[in-house]
Amino acid sequence: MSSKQHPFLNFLQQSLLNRICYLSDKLYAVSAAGVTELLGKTGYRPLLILARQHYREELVWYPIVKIADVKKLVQLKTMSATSPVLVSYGPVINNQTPVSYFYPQIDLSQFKASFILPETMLLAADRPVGSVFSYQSLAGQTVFSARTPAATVSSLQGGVLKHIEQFAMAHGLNVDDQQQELNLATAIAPSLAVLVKLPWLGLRNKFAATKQGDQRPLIRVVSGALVVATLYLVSTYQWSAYLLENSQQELQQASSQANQLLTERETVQELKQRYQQLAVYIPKRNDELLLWQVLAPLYENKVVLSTFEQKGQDIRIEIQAPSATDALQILLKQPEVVNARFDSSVRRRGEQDEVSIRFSLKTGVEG
Amino acid sequence: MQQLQMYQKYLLPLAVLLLLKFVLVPLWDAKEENYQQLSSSRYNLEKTRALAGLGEQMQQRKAEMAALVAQAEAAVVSGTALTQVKLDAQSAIDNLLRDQQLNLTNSNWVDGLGEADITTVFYEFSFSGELPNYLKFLQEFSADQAFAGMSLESSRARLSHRSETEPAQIDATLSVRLPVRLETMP
Repeated sequence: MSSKQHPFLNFLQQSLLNRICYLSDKLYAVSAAGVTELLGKTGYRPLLILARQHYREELVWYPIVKIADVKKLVQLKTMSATSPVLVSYGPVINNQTPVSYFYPQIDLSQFKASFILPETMLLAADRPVGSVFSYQSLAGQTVFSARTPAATVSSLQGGVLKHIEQFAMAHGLNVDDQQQELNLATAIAPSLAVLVKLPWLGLRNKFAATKQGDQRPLIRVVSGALVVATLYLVSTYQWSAYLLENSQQELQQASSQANQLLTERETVQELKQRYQQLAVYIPKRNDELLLWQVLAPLYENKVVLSTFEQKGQDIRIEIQAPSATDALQILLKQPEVVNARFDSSVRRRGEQDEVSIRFSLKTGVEG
Repeated sequence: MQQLQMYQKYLLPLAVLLLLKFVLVPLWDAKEENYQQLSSSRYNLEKTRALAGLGEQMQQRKAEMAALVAQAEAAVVSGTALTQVKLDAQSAIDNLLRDQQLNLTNSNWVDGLGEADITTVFYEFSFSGELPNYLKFLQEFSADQAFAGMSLESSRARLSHRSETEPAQIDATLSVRLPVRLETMP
């Protein structure tokens, strides 16, 4: 058990451990640190962990696949028992269902525990299939145990069984890989994860449940658990409602700001549209004299301008010049002139050429 | 009474089931629903806050656009009556022609298309005079702020040269474009 887990989980776990007792040579209380002897009034502890020396194991294979039918057979077998018989069902292997029976060999009538858990089942629950382990019981005996594919098996050291290797071989397991020596005092405290995995239905102490008045401690435990669960749910519900209300209020405020922003965005869009509308009508302020600056070199070369027409970018002029081609060359040399060309045939009259020239100005010059 | 005692052992599971059905499960569902709504609300809040974070940028953009629009509106001639605007523009151009000793021979107004509150009109006028005066006219037309809202749309001219010592004569027809923003009476 990890001590680094959340304090609430630690508290919950210790609360659970307080409901558990361990019966070995004496009766012990279980905690995360180990086991301590229980003296005086023990109170109602619903779970009793039974040490290996107090029960006998039997693994029976039923040639039945349907678990309901197996359970009926087990019920028939155990219904006449005068002391609790604990049962654990294994997975179907080769169309056979293995069932582990645990027969307590000690009088448990003085214990009111609702569930009795064989210690080897507890210790093997969290281990991988095929693992073999051993430990020293509190009474000083060595116990070998293993988790086989069918069930948890165990045996006390003695007789012909001297070593763990012999035990492993007897159950067809390889001891080299998974062998482990456990410290029982600390391993006996079950973790929450292990408790969830256990087959609780087969571990019921039917004799405790049928005793007159024995239900009262159970009622107390169940009632307590229900009260805790109800309080937990009510408090978490209230807390979630409080968080939700806060969040929705914040959202409402933020939405109000966002709506304002969206309104402003619409205003910006309207302004943009208005600007685009106006931009078309903004008068283009050009240098109206640029055309005449372009035409000035023609005058210097004795070119006479007789007419000009301008519409938008296009300009057409009619000239009289000693050489029409020279006049066109003069225009072409000017950087502001684009696409200058003759617009009519060149007519020669005496010493003068008469021609029409069309060109454009680079800027939107009007003249 | 005996029957009641007989069924007593069933009371606890029944009470647990009733509590589960009518208290714990609805509470759990309500809690889960609250957390689901909370998650959605927080997501929306995050998005809305991100949007609200653009407020300053939007204000800046709005101010920039308002300044541009004001500048554009100022660049377009405005008035409450189109006729009055026309008269003012015509008067200004006629005066400029007179100042530059150009003889106005003909003038008329042509209405263009209107869009929203803006109507475009064209002032077409013909005149004659010396070429240097026409150039001065153009120079003044470009420089004087009184003509800032107008632009030359087209021009057509015939030049005649009597002798090399005298300035050339010009007979020209110009078309001036004038967009007008009509303001409504308050």
